[in-house]
This record gives sequence, structure tokens and C-alpha cells, in this order.
Amino acid sequence: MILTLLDLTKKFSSLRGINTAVENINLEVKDREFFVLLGPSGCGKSTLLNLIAGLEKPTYGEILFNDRIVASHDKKIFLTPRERNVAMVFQNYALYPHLNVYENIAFPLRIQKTKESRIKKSVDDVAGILEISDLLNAKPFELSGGQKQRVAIARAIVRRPDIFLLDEPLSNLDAQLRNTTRTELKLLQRNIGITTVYVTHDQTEAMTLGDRIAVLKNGRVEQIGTTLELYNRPSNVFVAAFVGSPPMNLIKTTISEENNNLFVGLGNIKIRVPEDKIKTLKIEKAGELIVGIRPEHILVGRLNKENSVKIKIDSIESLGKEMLFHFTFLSQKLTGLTNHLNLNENELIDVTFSLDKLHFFQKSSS
Amino acid sequence: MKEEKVKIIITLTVAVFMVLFCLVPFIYMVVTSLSKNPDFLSLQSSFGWTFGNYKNIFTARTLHFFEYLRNSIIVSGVSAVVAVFIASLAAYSITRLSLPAKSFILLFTLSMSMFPQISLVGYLFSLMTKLGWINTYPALIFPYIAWILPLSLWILVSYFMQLPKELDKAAIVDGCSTWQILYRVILPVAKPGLFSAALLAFIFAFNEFMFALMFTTDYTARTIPVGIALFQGLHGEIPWGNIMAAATITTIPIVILVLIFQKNIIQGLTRGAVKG
Ligand SMILES: Nc1ncnc2c1ncn2[C@@H]1O[C@H](COP(=O)(O)OP(=O)(O)OP(=O)(O)O)[C@@H](O)[C@H]1O
Ligand SMILES: [Mg+2]
Repeated sequence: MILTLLDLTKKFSSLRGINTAVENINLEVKDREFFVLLGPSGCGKSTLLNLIAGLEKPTYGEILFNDRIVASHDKKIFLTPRERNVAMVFQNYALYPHLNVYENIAFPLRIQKTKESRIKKSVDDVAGILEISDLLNAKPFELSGGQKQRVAIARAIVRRPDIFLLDEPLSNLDAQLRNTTRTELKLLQRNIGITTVYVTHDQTEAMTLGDRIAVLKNGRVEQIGTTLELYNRPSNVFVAAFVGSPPMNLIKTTISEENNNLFVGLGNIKIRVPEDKIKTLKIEKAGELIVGIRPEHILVGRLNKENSVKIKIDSIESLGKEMLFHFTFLSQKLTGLTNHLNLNENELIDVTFSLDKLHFFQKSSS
Repeated sequence: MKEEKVKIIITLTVAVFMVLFCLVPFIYMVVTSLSKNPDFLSLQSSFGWTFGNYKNIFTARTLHFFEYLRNSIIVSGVSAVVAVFIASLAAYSITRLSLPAKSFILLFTLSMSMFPQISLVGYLFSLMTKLGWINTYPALIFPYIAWILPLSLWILVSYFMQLPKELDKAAIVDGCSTWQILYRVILPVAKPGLFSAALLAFIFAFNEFMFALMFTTDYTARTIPVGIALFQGLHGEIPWGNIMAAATITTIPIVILVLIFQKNIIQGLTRGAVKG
């Protein structure tokens, strides 16, 4: 099932005025794709998911499942979730507390008036897939978080939905369980092959799960791409800072011109701005430019004369295998990542910037 | 260690005092009902045990004890069930559907219930007379429903508000219609709230006195509080023994109901205060 969103906008009007939760979203989710919506709290992820599910009506725009219009403001079409055949998993699981696990999973089938024998077979099947067969008689309050999560997923996939929607399904689990469930979820999605839209604010989750990721901010799409595309070619400061952990260093610099070439300076290091960047970013001859460099591209040691500077380490954080070191450069706080584990606070060291790994952003692009 | 002990002692003392304070009238009622000579104002009179009062109210046809009890149970039961049913629909639409002026509706119903009953009695009496309902069940049931509706509504609204909205969303996505959401998810989940609302409504109606006094004329519709109050002895004296025995028997249905649904009621009443 291909999911297409066209100019999708949702405004809430409340006493405080009109609040645009989702604005002009255009995107296409491919058949069987694991698509992730990533963004900070309040950026409209849940609203977008609710629009796809049919729990909210769009203010403008259209939603298509394959060629079928399921919601359109102009054409006055709005299909209910039932008619769209979507399934959804919620952050707090939303299991029915009065029903046991078996009845929870069977619930959507009962509403569809499926035959009892079919229900039994379907429930047993998905319970087997999610390894909850021995919990079928338990009530939701007897289950652990991870088990509830499985039941919620089982309830969602039991009726073979066309589109599978998940709203931060892992955020109530502890870190370890989150990792294992993440892997299993990805595997499960591959096996059942249902087009999936997954909402999260956790960039690690997004990067490990998603075939493609849409980064949202204030209800707008900032960038859509695969994990590598987002990581290696963030299209603006927001994506650069949001994707990747520890986040990219962003340094404010001033543009200068020399022999028809544009340069920015990192202290004494002079960097030529690549031609293609000048074109795509429409860089002026003067003004400010933000230079981004990922922590792993700040290398410890004086590897060559031109790109190296001497810095004093402000603080260090050991990650076991690697180490983060924070330092102040051009009165901005920067972070480097290294596998030299013998650094100390207040130590003076040389670091080298890998100039071929720099990113350039317009200041106003946020 | 010492502090712990002091705490326990204080808690116990206060608890015992409160229980005694609440139970004294009740004990007094039971004792008087078992007394041979129930002139309870005079301390001199000698005390003797007897079941005569109970035998009397069960056997004396002129007291109509059973008719009163039956009327009370029917009137209160019907009123409570209908009121809670209406209140549950109202609470659902107030908490879940988009409805203009929700808080106004809630405050308005609350202010309605603040009307002193006495201010309504005159009008209701002439209404019931016109309808020809005096001394029938509807004359009590309809005013009772209206009277206990605000209370039930407020209990249920606060209860429904505690239920996570995702429960509704999940039900919608699973294919439920609005009606199915209500009877397959919300009502079963809110069962403790429904029970406590129904029970409180029942007790309210069961104890109501003024309407019952005004709108009934004899045992065909008169409820037990009025019935007992109007017990009369042969020579016009007040038969305290019979009254107390009848009152004791009358509290039994309520006590039984409370005992059966105790867990539900506590859950229902504290749900608003403690996050469930
Ligand atoms: N029913 C509603 N009425 C009014 N405003 C709403 C409603 N639902 C969401 N909003 C607003 O829309 C914006 C986006 O909310 P949304 O719940 O989609 O954010 P989110 O990205 O899911 O955040 P989180 O990560 O915290 O769940 C917020 O500013 C929120 O206040
Ligand atoms: Mg959300």
C-alpha cells in the first residue's frame, strides 16, 4: 500500500487562537516501507499520524492510500479508520483493561463480526509470532510494560491492516528492552510486509528502524531521506543538530572574499567554500555562514599544519570504547569524539579538523 | 520506634472515636427496637429483651411495613438505574464528544441540584394532581430521577475524565462506532464508577422524605421513611419500639448493597483523587 500526503495541513482552533499543528506536508511512503516521522515534542508527529489514521480531519490537503482518496478537504471526502483499514499502536498501549489478552487481541475481529473459529486461529497465530501465547488469559494490569507492548502490537496486526501506525510505541520501555524490541519490531515489519509509519522523538530509534525518515519541526517537513542521507547530507541546521549523537558542532563564521573565491575562517584555518555549496545555498559575498563538523571528524593530534589548532580540554566524558572531549574554540563550545582514552581535563592538545567532512549552512535556514 | 507507637495509638483512638460517634445512634436504634419497654427517655424504666417489636411489624397488617419496603425498593431502584443510565450517556458526550458549552452544562446541572426541595414541592404537587399521578410510583420516580441526576452526572464525568483518551482512539481504529465505543469499552471499564453512582443514587432516593410525604397518600405508593414516620399506636401514642424495629430492618438492604459493592464504591469514589 502506497501512502501519499498532499499539502496536508491541520489547524486546531482553541481559546488561545489558531494553532497550526501540521503544515503543507507532502510525502509519499512506498509499499512495505518502514517510514519514520522524527521530531521534537510538539512538532505535530502525533497529529500527522492521527490524520493518516482518520482520527482527525485535515484542514486542507489530501491523503491517498494507493489511488484511493481517503481524506480530502476540497472533495469533501473523509473515510473513517474502519473504512481505511489502518491499525495503530499507542504510546501508553491503550489495552482494554476489562478484557484479557485473548479478548484484547480478538477485539477488532469481533467488531468485524468474524467467525469464532477464524478468530481463534488468527489470535493464536499472532500470539505465536509475538511470543505471548502463554499470556492469553492474563488481564492487562498483570502484564509488564514489554508484554503490554506485544499485546498492543498483536491487536494491531491481527486483522492484517493495510497500513500500520505506531506512535512512540517504545518510549515507556526501559533502555535494554527498547533495544531488543526495536530489533524485533523491524524484523516483524519485514516479515509481515505492511507499510508502516512510525513516530518517535528519539533519533537513534529513527535511524536504526527507518528505511526512510522525515524530520519534522513546527509541523513542517525539514528533510526526508535515509539514515545515511540525513547523517551525511543534512539540508539545514535543524536536521544537522537533531540527527546524530553526540550532535554535530555548529560554528558561526564570517564570509570573506579573495580572488573571486569565498572563504570562511576557523580561527587561523582558512576554508574555501565549495562552488556547489555557493550555488545551492545562494551564498552572498559577505555575511555569516554556519560551518558544521561532526565530533568524530575532530581528530586528536597535529596531523597537518594547516588544519590543526591547539585547544584546552574543558571536560571529558568516557563512553568506554570512546571518549568525548569538550573544548572552547572561538568562544563556542565544541565536542570531539576520539578513541584516545588518555585525555585529561585542562590538558592542552592539538586537534585537526577534517576539512573534507565539513558541512555548510545558511544561518537563516533554520 | 517510639514515634511509630504514638502514631498508632493516636490513629487507633481517633478511629475508635469516629466509629463510635457514627454508630451510637445506630446502636441506640437497635437496642430500642429490642426493648420491652421502649420509653427511651426515662432512665428508670427497667430494660427487658424482646423480639415483640419485630414480630409486630412483620405480622400487623395495619402497619403495611412490607408494602412500604417494596415501594421504596422499586422506586429507588428504578430511579437509580434510569438516572445512572442517562447520566452515563451525558457524561460520555460531555467528556468525549465535541459539544459546545460543556462547563456551562455541568455548572447548570449542579446549580439545579442546589434548589431547596421545598421550593419545588408546591408546583410539583399541582402538576402531579393534574396528571393524576398522586399516590403512584411515577409521581416519585420522575422527580427522583431529576433530583439525583446531577450527582450521578458529576460522579461519572469525573470518572470518565480519568479514562485515557487513547482507549477511545484505539476503539475507533479497531472499528467501533460511537455507540460501540460506549457499550463495549467505556461502560465496562467504568463499571466501578457506575456502581458507586448507582448506589449513591439509590441511597439518596431511598432516604428521600419530603416528596414521598407530599405525593403519596397511602401504602400503595408510600415509601418506607414516610411510612415509618407515620406509624401510629392504637391510642395515638408513638410506637417507638415498632419504629425502631422497622428502621433497623430498613437499613439492612442498604448495608447489604454497600457490603457487596464495597470495593467498587471505594474505587469509584477515590478514582478522582488518586491516579488510577
Ligand atoms: N486536540 C487538540 N487541540 C488543540 N491543539 C492540539 C490538539 N492536539 C494537538 N494540538 C497541538 O498541536 C501541536 C502538535 O501536537 P502533537 O501532539 O501532534 O505533537 P507531537 O509531535 O506528537 O508531540 P509529542 O512528542 O510530545 O507527543 C501541539 O502544539 C499541540 O498543542
Ligand atoms: Mg505525540
